[in-house]
Amino acid sequence: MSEEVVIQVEGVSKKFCRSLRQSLAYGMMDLAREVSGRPSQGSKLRSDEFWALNNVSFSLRRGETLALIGRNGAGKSTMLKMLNGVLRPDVGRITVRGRVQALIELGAGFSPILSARENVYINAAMLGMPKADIDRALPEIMEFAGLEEFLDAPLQSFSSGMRTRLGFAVATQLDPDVLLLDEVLAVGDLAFQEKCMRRMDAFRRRNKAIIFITHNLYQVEAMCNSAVWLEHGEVVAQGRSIEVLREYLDTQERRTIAEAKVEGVRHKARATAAERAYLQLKEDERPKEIVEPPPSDPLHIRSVEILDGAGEPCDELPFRSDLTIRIHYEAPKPIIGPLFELIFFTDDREIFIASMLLDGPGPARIEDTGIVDCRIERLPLTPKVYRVVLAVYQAGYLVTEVTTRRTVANFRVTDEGLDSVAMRGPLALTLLRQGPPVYVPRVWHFYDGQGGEPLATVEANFAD
Amino acid sequence: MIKTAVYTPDPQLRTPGRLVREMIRDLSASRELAWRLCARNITTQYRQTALGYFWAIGPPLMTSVLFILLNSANLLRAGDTGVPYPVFVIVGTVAFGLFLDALNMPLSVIGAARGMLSKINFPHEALLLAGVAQILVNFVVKATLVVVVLVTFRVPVPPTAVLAVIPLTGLLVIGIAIGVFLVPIGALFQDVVHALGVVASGLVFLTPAAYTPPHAGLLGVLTSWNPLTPLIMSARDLLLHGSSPQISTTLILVAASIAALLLSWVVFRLAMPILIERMGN
Repeated sequence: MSEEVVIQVEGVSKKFCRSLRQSLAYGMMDLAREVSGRPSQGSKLRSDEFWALNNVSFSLRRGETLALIGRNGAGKSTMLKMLNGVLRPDVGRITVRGRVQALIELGAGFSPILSARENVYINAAMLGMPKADIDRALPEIMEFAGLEEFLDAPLQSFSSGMRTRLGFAVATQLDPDVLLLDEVLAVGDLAFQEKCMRRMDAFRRRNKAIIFITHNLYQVEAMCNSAVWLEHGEVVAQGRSIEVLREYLDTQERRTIAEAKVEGVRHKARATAAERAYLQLKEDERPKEIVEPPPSDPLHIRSVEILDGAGEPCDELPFRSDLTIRIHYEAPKPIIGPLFELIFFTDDREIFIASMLLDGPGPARIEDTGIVDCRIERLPLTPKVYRVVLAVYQAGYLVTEVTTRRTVANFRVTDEGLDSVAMRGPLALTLLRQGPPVYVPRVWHFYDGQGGEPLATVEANFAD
Repeated sequence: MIKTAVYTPDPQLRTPGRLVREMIRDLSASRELAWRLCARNITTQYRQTALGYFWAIGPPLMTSVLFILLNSANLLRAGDTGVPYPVFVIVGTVAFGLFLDALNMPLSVIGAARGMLSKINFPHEALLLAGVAQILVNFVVKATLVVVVLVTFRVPVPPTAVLAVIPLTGLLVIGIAIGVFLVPIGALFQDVVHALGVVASGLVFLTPAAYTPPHAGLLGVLTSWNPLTPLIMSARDLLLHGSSPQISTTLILVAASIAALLLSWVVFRLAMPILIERMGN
């Protein structure tokens, strides 16, 4: 292990038990084994046990910040507890160089009937701080927590936010070599969160290492060099934070699309490998197409396809590519003055419409089967999942709908090939993928107030 | 030198040298925290009470009063106590209480610290040390009761009474050792906590705290096999008479209980990681 590596996790697994009684019985067996010094049988699962973490490896160097991401129950907190030595791995090996400080739950061990001062002393002693240091640090701790005037008030009069602030202030005062944070930044008000981040930044600058759990992907992009994405105790992806984030978001979005299809949106597109895996479909099976319009509709929508720039059916297309939505219809009786309308949504927010109610009428009448293509060039939508709702009207004295309005397609804009052109800012990935849906090219100029040539120019435009 | 910690699933007994080094390191690292915890426990123990330290004296006082009533009604044959019965019984129950407090302490401090144990990595010995300190503080409070009784009944105390510290240490250490041995099972199964309550209420009658041990009958056999008997008797004899016929037995018992305590500490070290994982918070 080189000098620089502060945390080395090698093939670590941890198992938990689903049943409490069984867990206690296993505890007794493990105790007997430990006391007799026999080697552990950690690598085998007993009945009712499952892997809370399975074969996880990663390392962290000085000055690095690593994010653990994943859904609830993925094993993130368990990992942190093992790094802190609270839990022991069942398989594998963890090596930690230097002093570790973990904020797994802020203010654990606080007593409600003692004053803030007394609690600070106990908490700091528990985290290994000598009394003389606490004496010196007390004013700064209280100042950082913004609780100077409550020094002698009993903790039971504190709000949970105030307790959290106190806990964070104590733990970060200790100046460890490695800081482990479990969703600490999710609590507290905005001003305090900002203070915490500034303190973490100062920490990083002093060449310390940080591992933290968060669900806030902006924080991952802005603050972390690397990330580990855990799912059901297994590493799905790890490496540079931006790449892990991208994969994480891609998978989430593919899931959204796959789930939308399961819900029965009629949508012709081949299931991708990821979707098949997620839906546990066999190679040739496709999600069921359930939604059938009522037979009484004058106009029947037989299918809707998303076509990419090359005219190929798809459900993913790169940012700023050309998009065609192809509608196959069937009109048993003639429809006079048909007007098609496509409404684009993301996260149930309406983004824009492509409507012939606005654009003007098409043919005077349609009958039997036919196709309507709506082509949009250089779709100005950011990488995300979109949903398309189709409505068809018939113009007359009154405008009436001739088919049941419903979602006809889901597609996803990817950030393929984007990093070189428009992703230079510190939050580029998350803002592009989690921020507002419309992307407008722009150019920034900086002038020095004397007139003349711009001092600097930032161009967010595309060669296309 | 940068501190390096390695966590593996290997049994700690495989590396006994490391185990012992870590035990010594953690014990010395836990002193400061133990003081803090002890101070906290004592303040919180009495901060929410109106009568405060009376509650340290309450239990032995109650037991003693009951025995005095039984004895004065001739329902109890205490035997030849040599000193006024109230003195005899209060000294006995206070000494026995020291053992009882020590017996219950390990499980109760570990149980109370569940939440911290599963979230913070700190030397767990601190919890036990703080528990011992708290027992000693409570014992000092109870000792005032003994002083009051001795003064009231004008019982002279010989200078060698200080030797009573030896059997009292034995009572404390044997209580802690048994209590620590019970932690691995008791932290997982609450049955142990319930059983301790039952055993404690019976044990006070099987230990000659309030009577001189009979020579015949089942009780005679039980008290003669009870290792607490010589400790309680010699503590009382040393305090009241300055000498005890059982001093050698006492010394052997004290040595044995110290050995038991060291062994229980090893078991405690081995068990804690497993317990923390299973006992939840």
